[in-house]
Amino acid sequence: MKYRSQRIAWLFFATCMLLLSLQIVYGFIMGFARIGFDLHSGSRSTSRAPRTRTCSSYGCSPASLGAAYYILPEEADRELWSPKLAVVQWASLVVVGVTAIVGFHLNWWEGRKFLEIPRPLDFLVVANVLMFVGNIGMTVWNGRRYTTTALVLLAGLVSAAAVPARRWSGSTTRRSTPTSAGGSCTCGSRGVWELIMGAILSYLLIDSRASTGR
Amino acid sequence: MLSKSQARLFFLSATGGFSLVFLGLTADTIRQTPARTHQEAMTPAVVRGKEIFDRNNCMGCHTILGEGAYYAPELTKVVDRRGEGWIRLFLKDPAAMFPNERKMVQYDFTDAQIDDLVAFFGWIGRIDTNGFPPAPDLAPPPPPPVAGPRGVSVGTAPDIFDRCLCRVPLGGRHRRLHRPGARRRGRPSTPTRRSTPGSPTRRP
Repeated sequence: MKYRSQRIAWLFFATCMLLLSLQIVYGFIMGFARIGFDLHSGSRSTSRAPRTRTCSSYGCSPASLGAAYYILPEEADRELWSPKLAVVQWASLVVVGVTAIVGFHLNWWEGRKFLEIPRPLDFLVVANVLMFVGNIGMTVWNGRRYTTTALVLLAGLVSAAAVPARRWSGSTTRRSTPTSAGGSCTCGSRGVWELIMGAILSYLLIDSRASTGR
Repeated sequence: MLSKSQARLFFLSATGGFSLVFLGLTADTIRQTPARTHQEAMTPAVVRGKEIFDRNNCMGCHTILGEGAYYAPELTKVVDRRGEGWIRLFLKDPAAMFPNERKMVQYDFTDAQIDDLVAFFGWIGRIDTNGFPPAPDLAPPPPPPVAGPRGVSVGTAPDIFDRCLCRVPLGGRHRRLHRPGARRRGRPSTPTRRSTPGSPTRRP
């Protein structure tokens, strides 16, 4: 670890591990419901959203955000633009996640697939994303060098931030939901995540080897 | 091996071309949506029904237009499959209809809410979905829907539900009807214990 501000990644890593354990618990609840051991009649329908959300949204995103906070300072050869903002962003992510999961158990939904979290939380997510994009963007922009790894990772994360934009699409008809879901899943999961994973992999293969001198 | 300029051309033309195809197809879908969904038939009841559907996260188990959780039945053509009377009765007390099966949550819907949901399912069922959901390739053809009393069409239950069939006569008082010696959880009943479709099973 070359820079102090890289340590922010620990917060995200710890969050991720916590979410992973939650995901396993919800997975068991659903599995038991499937073979006939419902905790109560709604245990399956309630558990599905927390499980997929702890897996994808709150699981993958803290992982990639933490990875970005770790990788980008090293790539840009400078401290993170604002470590305090990163902590605030982490806290708001936790607030969204905890509120959403507790809300699910109180039957508080938006109710579209993968867009389960209710509308008021969406605003917090937007603030969260802007804080994150601003922070990493300024880190790269003010960096002492621009590497391909950093630019690809930045492009991937900024595009990933745009993927949930379909959340704001009008939804009076259910017909628009599969279309927008198809678009955002195709572009988001299959396109954008390739950039993020590619950048992280190139960091692991190229940069970390170079920095450890092996 | 491509030269650098060839690679750049390849990247730009492929990315640009397929992005244009994607945008074009999306625009075409959006253009056709009002006609294919019969948007003019979307009454306030349909919109309210959709809100009830969303607010209770029905797609946490069901799918609709192919999208959802793939756990409970597909609801796109549910009105054609079951008939309105059946749906109304089922939503009143889901667990009574299929005891010992997967349990749907009892939402305690009011009659007005059930009307809205039925209107929503009816509207969804008339969307031109290019033949979705497709008929299963290998399953035997389903028996024809059974006409209940008062001329209400009662759709027949899928085979899996027949195994612990608990028919509720429409038009009469809504009763929990358990067959004597109903099968225990997880053990399929023998064919001899299966009731014939359409014959209401009554408590002795």
